[in-house]
Amino acid sequence: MLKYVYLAITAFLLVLIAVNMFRKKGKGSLFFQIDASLVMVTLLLRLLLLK
Amino acid sequence: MKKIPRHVLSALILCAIVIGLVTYLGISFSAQSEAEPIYPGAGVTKQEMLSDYCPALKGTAGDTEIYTLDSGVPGASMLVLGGTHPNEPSGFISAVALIESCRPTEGILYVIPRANNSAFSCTDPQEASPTRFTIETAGGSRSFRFGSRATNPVDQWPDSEVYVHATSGQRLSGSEMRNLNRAYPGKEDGTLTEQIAFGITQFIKDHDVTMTVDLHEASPEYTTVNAIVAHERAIEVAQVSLWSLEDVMKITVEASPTNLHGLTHRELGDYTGTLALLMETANPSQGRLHGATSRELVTDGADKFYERAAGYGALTVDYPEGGFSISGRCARHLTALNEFCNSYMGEDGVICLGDFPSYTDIVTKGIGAYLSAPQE
Repeated sequence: MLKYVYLAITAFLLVLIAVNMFRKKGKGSLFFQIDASLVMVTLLLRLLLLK
Repeated sequence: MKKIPRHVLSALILCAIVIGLVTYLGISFSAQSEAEPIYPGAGVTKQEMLSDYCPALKGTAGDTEIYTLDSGVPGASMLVLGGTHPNEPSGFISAVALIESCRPTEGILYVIPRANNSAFSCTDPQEASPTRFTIETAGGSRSFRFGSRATNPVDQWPDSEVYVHATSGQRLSGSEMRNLNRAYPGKEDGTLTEQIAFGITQFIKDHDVTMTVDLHEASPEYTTVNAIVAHERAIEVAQVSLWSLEDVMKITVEASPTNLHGLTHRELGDYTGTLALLMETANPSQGRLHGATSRELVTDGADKFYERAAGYGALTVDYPEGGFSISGRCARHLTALNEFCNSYMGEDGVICLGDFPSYTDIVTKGIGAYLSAPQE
């Protein structure tokens, strides 16, 4: 059961980050997006229980 | 046609890179769950699974092979446990060498090469360990996994804050919940690690195994290293073996502490009739003083920082010329196993491992000489 709670939290965070990544506009947004994509790599690996 | 905004385009490109990276990492990570082949030699007469002794393990990552090498001549029996801690590779490689090369002539030899099969599928966090290492054989190089000290958290999770050992009530750090060598005698309806320990204990009881040897490694600065740890009933076998072993290697015998629970040399001796022994060799890739944790460090064991530390007297063992090679470490294990057999003379007979290579043979020819060539 705890595993599914963990996965649900991870998936929720991933969705939030992905949505924000597409919303970020203006100067310097690329750096925020690169930051976000790096976080997404680790979260996706966790979601797939690979890390 | 509507133009895609710049920030959306960059987000899409980054998402594609993320997916590509995760796919690559996922494939390479998943490869660690693929077991390396073991080629049973002419001495192997039977192959079973641990789930035959603990049905709860069937279909789980904890299920593992048990090889029987029955000489056909009645006698005593020995169980060798390799891979209790898959980040201590000489135990696993020694067990594989026995399966592929050994032909006992009296008694029975049982080998469980991947005692904690789940722990082979991951590495320890923050250690930057290699996932694999290679050993040269006469017919080409073979790749083996370098695993973790503990059961893969994907297979057993979460750890509690405190690990309470099932039979003694001993309290240890929560991470020890996944350490097979803190789980004996095990629990049939316990965690995966406890179930593995239960299966092994049950196997020993069912086969009335005379002697059980658990093969380990430790960092060269650790106190219990290049040593035999023996349960009080196995001290005599260990001491008698020492007379011959001291001719070829520096080694000590230590008594199993009575107040440290969950370990093979304590619980298997207390809960079964087996003579429980544990071997430790020096493995620099496990220590705190080494440089990069490379594949070469695992196999050659040469490290300039350990060499320097030895000069300062900071190690508990001598630094061998050329390093702590895996051939030298396996030679220690295999020579000691043979001596335990030679030293045992009980009511149930003797065990003879047949035409067994000497310590010098294994060191000079390399452990690869006692492994099969890779097969398609």
